[in-house]
Amino acid sequence: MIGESTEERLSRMPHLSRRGFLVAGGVGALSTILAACSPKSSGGTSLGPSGSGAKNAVGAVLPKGAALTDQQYYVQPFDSTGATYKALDFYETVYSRAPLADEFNIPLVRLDPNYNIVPGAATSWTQAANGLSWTFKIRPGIMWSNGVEMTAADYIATLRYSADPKHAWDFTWFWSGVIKNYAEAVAGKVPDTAIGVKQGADKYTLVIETEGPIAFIPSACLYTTPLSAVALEKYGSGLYNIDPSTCVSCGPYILHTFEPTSTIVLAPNTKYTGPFKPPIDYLIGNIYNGGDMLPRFQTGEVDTFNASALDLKVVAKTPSLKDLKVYKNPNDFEIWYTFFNCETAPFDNMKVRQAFAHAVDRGPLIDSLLAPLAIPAYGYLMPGYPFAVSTPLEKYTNYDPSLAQQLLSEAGYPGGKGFPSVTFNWWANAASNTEEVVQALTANWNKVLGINVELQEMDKTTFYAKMNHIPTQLQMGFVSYGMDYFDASNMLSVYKSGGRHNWDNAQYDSLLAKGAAESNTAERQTIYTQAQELLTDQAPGVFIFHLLYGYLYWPYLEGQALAANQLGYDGIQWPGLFATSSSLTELYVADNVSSYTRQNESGVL
Amino acid sequence: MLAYLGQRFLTLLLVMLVLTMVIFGLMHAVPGGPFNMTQQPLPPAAMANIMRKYGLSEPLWRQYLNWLWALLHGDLGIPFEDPTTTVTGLIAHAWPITLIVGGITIGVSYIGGLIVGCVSALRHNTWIDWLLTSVVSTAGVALPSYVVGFLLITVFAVKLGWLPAGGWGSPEDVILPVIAFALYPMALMARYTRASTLEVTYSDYVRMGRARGLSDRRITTRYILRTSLIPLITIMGPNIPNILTGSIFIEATFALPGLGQYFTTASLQRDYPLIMALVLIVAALWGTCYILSDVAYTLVDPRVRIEGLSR
Repeated sequence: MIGESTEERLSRMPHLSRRGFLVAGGVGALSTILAACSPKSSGGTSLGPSGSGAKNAVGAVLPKGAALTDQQYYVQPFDSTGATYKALDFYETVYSRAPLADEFNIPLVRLDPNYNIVPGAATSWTQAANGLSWTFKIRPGIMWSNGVEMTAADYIATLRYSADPKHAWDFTWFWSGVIKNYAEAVAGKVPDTAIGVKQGADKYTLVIETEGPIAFIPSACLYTTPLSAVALEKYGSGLYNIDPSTCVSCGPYILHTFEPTSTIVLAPNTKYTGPFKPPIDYLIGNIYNGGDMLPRFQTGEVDTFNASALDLKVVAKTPSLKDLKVYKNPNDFEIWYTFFNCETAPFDNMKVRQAFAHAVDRGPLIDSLLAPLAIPAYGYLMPGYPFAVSTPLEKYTNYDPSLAQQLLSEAGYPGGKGFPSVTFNWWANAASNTEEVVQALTANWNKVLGINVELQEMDKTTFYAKMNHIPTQLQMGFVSYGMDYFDASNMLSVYKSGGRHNWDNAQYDSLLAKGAAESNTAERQTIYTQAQELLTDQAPGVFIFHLLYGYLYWPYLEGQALAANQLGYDGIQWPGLFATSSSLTELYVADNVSSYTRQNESGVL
Repeated sequence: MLAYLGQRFLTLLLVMLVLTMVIFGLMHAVPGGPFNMTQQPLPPAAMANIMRKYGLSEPLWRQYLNWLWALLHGDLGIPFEDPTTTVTGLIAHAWPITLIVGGITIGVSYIGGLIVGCVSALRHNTWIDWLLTSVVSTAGVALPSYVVGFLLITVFAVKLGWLPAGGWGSPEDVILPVIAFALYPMALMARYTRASTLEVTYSDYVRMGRARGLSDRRITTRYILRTSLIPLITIMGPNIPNILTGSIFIEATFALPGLGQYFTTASLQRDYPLIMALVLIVAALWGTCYILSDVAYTLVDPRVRIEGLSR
């Protein structure tokens, strides 16, 4: 076509009739209207000078390279599918807490990025010589926004509230058998004032009495996120914190907006007097009922998102995203595993369970379905979690088809002959790609062992109801567990007698009891190593993989909160940007924010 | 007519009463309850406290009567999903969003479908007919709304940046959800309109009208279109409650905080009060829509009469 004249080109163009002109005009007009409607057509935020050295609303000095304070907001997406958001405080409800919960207080202790327990509201803690109580010294001078000083009385009122049968708290198991008289108070046998939580020598001293010597109390006290005793007395519940007009905070944030179906906004608590001052002024939770988070991140609607393995494949092929760093960390050290009903045939036979354990080929399964967001699990505890061991456990659960077949034969089912058909129950979870994983596992077992495992999908509520039923109504199932606090006593207790599963083993129970009471770290390691070996060897479950969480952050988010920890995990570590974590003070918006499209949140702020 | 309507609505109330009994029994028969999704089994004392707090420790028949008594006093209860509000408050908050999106969707899809169908029929076997039938109608029926939704988001939000990827609060938030939502009913409407219009176009009385020398416009509007509307009432009328109660796919794709999501979440989380309220809404809407459809027949088809009613 080189050398073609304009006239020739025009002559080849289709003749535009009146009707064609009208159609073309209509399309053009529609495009113009759409373009005019666009609120984001102006692109990103305006350029501005650095905010380095400036003080924000809670008195934090912005670090070098930080953007101005009006850019110091952080928008996180939350998927509310299957979730209920009733409250913003742990002691009001655990399972129905809304996003950005637990920011209106300072817990006794916090976590650093390496999962060490560090001071929070408490500056120090000691265990009594007889091991039956712990004493926490609380910092003076931390004020609630209602002008009252935070003292031991707030922790006492909050823990008593949690044990009140009328409150019917959904997490009472956490302190039952730990705090003295707690289980009795929950059952209504003693008043909640009788629980072992008391003021010590002065109002800044809190004493927690335990049912026995318990070494993990400081770790468990990560969940001492108090309500205001005065507000609790005034309003009768912790729901005062979901109304901006009644919210009382001693943390760096206070409630601005609570719309649990769309947005939660926390604003700076200008009356904050605590020691932990975050550079980020506003925390914004955008709540979505499902849908794809990636476009919301791409359009600058949110500053970060939790990417699935599939998202990461899309990101790697998207020019505007492929250069972004993918952060990975274990979040709550989740384990995904297959459990068995150990009280009925065929899984009451340990050799059957062991045969299943040796018939799982984790490597290809993870590579093809979950990589890079999972690692193989040989034990219940993820490497990096306190007292976790992995390599010593591999021999009990490695992929060994010959051994698996031999074990099944020894159990009385040579070549799978006579083995009853069993049902493998599961519920769909996109993050762990359960649909494909359970199919791969089932195919593996059926092929290696010559048996018939059938899959049965359930909705999550039915699954949990049947699993938690006593006796359990599931023959075998695929489920996960994430830690509640940083101590082996937490996650290993899932297999304790009377716990989640019905593998009742006195030796295991005894080891857990010894480990909980032991205060010497080396001794505890020995005890918990034995417990983990026993658990993996007897195979009341087959541990398949530990989930890793992938995160993308726009590069204008900077700070130590994103840096790799000693285990090499990076991004904001569990429990997230909360009062319970030192990350809260280590994240800021950098002055390169002007180079990126970030939706204007002025409507919210 | 009023007596007829009164009788029909009274029957509807009885149907709804029976329906609530059936649904109340069924939802309690399904395994699992609203507080079963705990990671570990709750201690029996703790579970008993929770059941007592939410009135679930009473016998089932008493729970039903309590619910019915409260309903008669205008109280739909407290949703377990969000006990900080009431079921009425939750619906009052979420349904208007669904009604706005649904109402515009009905307007766009029904009017659009009618126009597309009529144009296709009146220009049948031309390139316009081919384009409208094969592209608009077939694609609209074949493509699921969530696929269309993701395509729209990719093009108009991510690539062009013209419209938001989702959310609610400004007028432009309506545009993409309505397009995605309207495509299917519009395609359906277009296909049925085309078929029924074509059928009427070749009927004897239309030929007679032409023979009498009536103008094309009069034949089209008075003879063809009015008659071709009759089957559409049957087909498209019942679609209205579907659209007005929202779509979980559309709401999830575009993050709309509407009512549609609660049809699944209420069931999955065993939110008994909310399930009952949604059942009432759906039953009332469907029942009303069928009654109004029957009335509409009498308006567009002179042959249809309500028994005992003289005109």
